[in-house]
Amino acid sequence: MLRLERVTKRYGDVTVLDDVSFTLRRGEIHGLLGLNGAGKSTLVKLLSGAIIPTSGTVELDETAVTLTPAEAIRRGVITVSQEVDDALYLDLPIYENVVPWQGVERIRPRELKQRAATYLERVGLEIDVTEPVGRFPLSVKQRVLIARALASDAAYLLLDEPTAALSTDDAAALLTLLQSLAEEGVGILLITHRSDELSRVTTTTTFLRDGRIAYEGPFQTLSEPDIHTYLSGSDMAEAVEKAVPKTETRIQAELTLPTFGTRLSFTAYKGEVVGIGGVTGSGKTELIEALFGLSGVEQQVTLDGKPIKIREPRQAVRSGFALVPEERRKQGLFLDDSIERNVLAIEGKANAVTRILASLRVKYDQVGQPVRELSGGNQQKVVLSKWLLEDRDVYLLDEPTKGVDVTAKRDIYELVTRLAKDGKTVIFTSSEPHELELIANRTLWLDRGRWQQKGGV
Amino acid sequence: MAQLVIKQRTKRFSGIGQYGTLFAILALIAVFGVTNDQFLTYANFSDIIKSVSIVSLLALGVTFSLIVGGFDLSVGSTASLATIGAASSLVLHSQELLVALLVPIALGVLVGLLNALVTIKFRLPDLLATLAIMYVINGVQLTYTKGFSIYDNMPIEGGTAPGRFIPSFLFIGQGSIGPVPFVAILMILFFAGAHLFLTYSKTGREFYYVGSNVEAARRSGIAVTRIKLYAYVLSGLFAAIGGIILASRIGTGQVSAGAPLLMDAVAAAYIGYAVFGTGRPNVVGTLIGAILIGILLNGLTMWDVPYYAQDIVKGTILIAALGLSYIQKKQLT
Repeated sequence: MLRLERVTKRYGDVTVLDDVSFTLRRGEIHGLLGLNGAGKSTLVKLLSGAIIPTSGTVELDETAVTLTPAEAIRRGVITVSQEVDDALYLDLPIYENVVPWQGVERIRPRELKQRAATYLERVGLEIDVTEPVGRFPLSVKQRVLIARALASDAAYLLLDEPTAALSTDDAAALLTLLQSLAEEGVGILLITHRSDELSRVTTTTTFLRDGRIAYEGPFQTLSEPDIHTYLSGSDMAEAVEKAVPKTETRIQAELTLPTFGTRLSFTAYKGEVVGIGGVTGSGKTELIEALFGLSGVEQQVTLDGKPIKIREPRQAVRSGFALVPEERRKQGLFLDDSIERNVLAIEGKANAVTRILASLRVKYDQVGQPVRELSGGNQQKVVLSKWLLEDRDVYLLDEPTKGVDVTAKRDIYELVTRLAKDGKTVIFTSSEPHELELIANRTLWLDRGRWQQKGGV
Repeated sequence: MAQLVIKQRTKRFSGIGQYGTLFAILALIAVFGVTNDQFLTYANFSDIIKSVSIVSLLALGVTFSLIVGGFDLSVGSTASLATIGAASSLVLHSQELLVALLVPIALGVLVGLLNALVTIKFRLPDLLATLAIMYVINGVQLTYTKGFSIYDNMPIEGGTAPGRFIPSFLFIGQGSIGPVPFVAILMILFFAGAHLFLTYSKTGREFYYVGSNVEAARRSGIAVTRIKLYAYVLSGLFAAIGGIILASRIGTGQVSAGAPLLMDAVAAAYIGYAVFGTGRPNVVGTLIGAILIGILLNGLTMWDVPYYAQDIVKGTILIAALGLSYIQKKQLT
């Protein structure tokens, strides 16, 4: 079995996992559930040797080990992350992505292709093994990675939200595959937000909340309120006191989403927090980008009764929109610049910077410090800060709590409700139904660029 | 219904990509053959092969650097340095064949190590770092020769140079075995060796893994830095061998003789991406790319297109090759 024994992981002042003991047994499908910042990814990284614990031990088959990523793979602990492309050799043929070449001195392509084909057959893939893997959709790439895991004698398979970006059919097929692997003795750790999946395939489920284990046991016997408590706890619900939306319409729009070739009608009121839910690839980011002039086409929006055209971010900013993009480090920050310069990137006076940072409880040494040095949560607050110096009417927050620790998340929730109480409109996207339930006055669900009735848990 | 088994047949990248280069070669041969009766002669083809062999070896070096995700721009200046190294050993120091081969090869390996040092150890961007090394190497060979070429019976302080280009050295670039130019045999041997190494050896495959996804390669236990080091050393080595053939072919150690070869070599390697429609650098593709460029330049020369205008053609070809490789890359993400 693969085990964490009283493991604590800290980054600076932030404790991400606090005295957690966790066991993954061979032959089980172990569900792992928790909100953003609860410590799921950290737990997976500890098990796969990507990081080492601050205290406590990782144990493999009853002996304490210090894992490196390569060592973990050698010992049969294989991770399939959400970012499958990071683990694949996209321009190389499928068979070279599947078979391990360690221990093979002379390479015989024909033999490798045959071996690859047998592993691919076990994961239900009948495809041309000489094709570069980059040409295939996510569902195939995931299975290629699982085939690779089988080829390197996987004893434990750690899957980080493998179904998040899959269609319902593909997800169901993947789960069936996982079940058959578990029957063959593979220990599977499955991170997912979907209740139906957890109740269908898991033998045990662990809930993480604020870096601690909130529940461990069968998922099937839990009631809806139980799930809610184990996920967010009662204190979090108290932290969020929703504002009451006003009756004046702020946004009325017919948006075009070129990625999907669909049109969406969308309305939001003053003082309202609108939740936009959906899995990865459902169109959340595309909706946000359309409103902010990043869709590449001109969008017709009626803002406070006035028709405006948004084609470029500059126009959106001038009309009073603010954007917190999904990829904070890539799209939201000037990483090597100081906190001060990041906050002042839009407009505003330098003397207001410290006040804004203090109001968001940003932890930093001095405003001249590069943003790169801050933790994820504090970086996110800096992104938000730059839109707080000036008065904005509409805040577009694209997965603002992703990769953010729990205290920072609480501060972000608090800010969102404060903005709504001031009459601002906040559009908040998330793939976590519970988070949206907690924060939004109203939640709309997206599926491949269209509105749907209800999805997720 | 859940799709438990995924069956998928994909279309290969076809058309221009896969056989386009081969068609282009045939088309060029036809066009030049029809317009010039000197083109389709044994003497001319032997000429083409001799110049292709030099460019192709530099391109082979570039290909190794491209495979691991790097880029070696110093191959032209390395070839120049090797030319001077060989000429100096023979003419100024009256050395025998073995020394005249080992000196330039050692110089090439040294440049490779230097490139590895700046790109791997200092983590400078490959393109700019090797560009800087290119200038350094060029400066070194110019400083050593004070800007003069090295040739038989050249005047030096107190008389003429003691040594000369010996026949065994000249044979490399000028001789033939039967009707086949010796350089053609050399070229085929090096390319076959490189191809077999990259396709059938464990280390060879690791070159591709490193270039394809360096983080995934590191995580699966590949010694990433060592592989990159090998690639740059091989690049320097092949550039030096190209320089030796160049020196032997022209029978002098001409300063900066290798400089104009850089563009041809880079273009050949990038044309190679497209040859089998794989969108990856590969040695067989590089060889075909070098042949294509060799034929084109030879034909243009026969059409009396001046060498300076040929640069326009070369640059255009490179843009086309880069564009094609970009399109193929885009299909993979």
